[in-house]
Amino acid sequence: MKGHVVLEITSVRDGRVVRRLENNNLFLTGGYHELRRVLKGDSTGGAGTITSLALGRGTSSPLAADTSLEVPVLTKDVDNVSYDDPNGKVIITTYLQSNEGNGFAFTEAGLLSAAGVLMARTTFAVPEIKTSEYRFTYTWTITAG
Amino acid sequence: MNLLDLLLRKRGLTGVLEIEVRDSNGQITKRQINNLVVDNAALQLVHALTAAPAGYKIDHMVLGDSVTDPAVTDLNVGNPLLSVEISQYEDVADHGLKCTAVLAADEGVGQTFKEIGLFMANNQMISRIGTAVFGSHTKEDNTTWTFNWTITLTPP
Repeated sequence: MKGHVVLEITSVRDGRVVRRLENNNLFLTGGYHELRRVLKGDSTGGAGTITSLALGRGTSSPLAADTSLEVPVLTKDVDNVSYDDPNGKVIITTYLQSNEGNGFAFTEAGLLSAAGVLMARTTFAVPEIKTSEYRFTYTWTITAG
Repeated sequence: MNLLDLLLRKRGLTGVLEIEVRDSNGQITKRQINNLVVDNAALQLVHALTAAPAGYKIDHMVLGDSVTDPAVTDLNVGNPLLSVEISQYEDVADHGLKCTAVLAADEGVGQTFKEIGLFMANNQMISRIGTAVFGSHTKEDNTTWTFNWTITLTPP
């Protein structure tokens, strides 16, 4: 599994995208564990499917064995899931609205299963301080392979 | 890593099938063969990450008698004859999952099988083995066939 994350920072005043950051993710051991639970029909403790985005202030590079963000701040339910079937991709979009997460400089993000297991993680080198003037859009694309 | 390995890993999955035949005297013969992971597997895996999970359980194998070579574009076995439910799952190393299905002594008797496919609950096939690898086997009375299909989720 491979993943790529794009963060778009949009001005709520005029709808303009003022900044765009992107990075690859690491699909974690926990992610493979959750996918395997889906494949064998095990929903103990919650389904193994991705349901939320976690944001934090950690800066360490992701490791396959990571089980949580380094400095978790908040968790947000995923807003939209779509599929690019011809290319075998799933696109997961989550919004941090103007009234959410303000005052924090987010440097890491992760995807969580319904059971709360961290499945993928990435970091952004430049901290972006969230204020009420901006909406953050995280678009996470995962490809099998 | 050879070209075949690369092609298989591109789909995020590899697979091996072990077939165990137990005759009426309790004698067991085993053999192990590689599968072909079809393109559809990658699609099913990414859907399995986010969609309602019930449809994405790997839950049956289908035996057939087509002699057509498997292709990565296949969505089904060539000529399905019999479906066998997976009855047991076991986690194995390297993000692997061993799926076991048993064709009981009184099932499929007299039928000749030349291919097999691995399917999800939504009836989507993710792997297929054709005659060239599977061979041609007639199910005899009082024999039990056990299929142990191990798939491995492959990191890039």
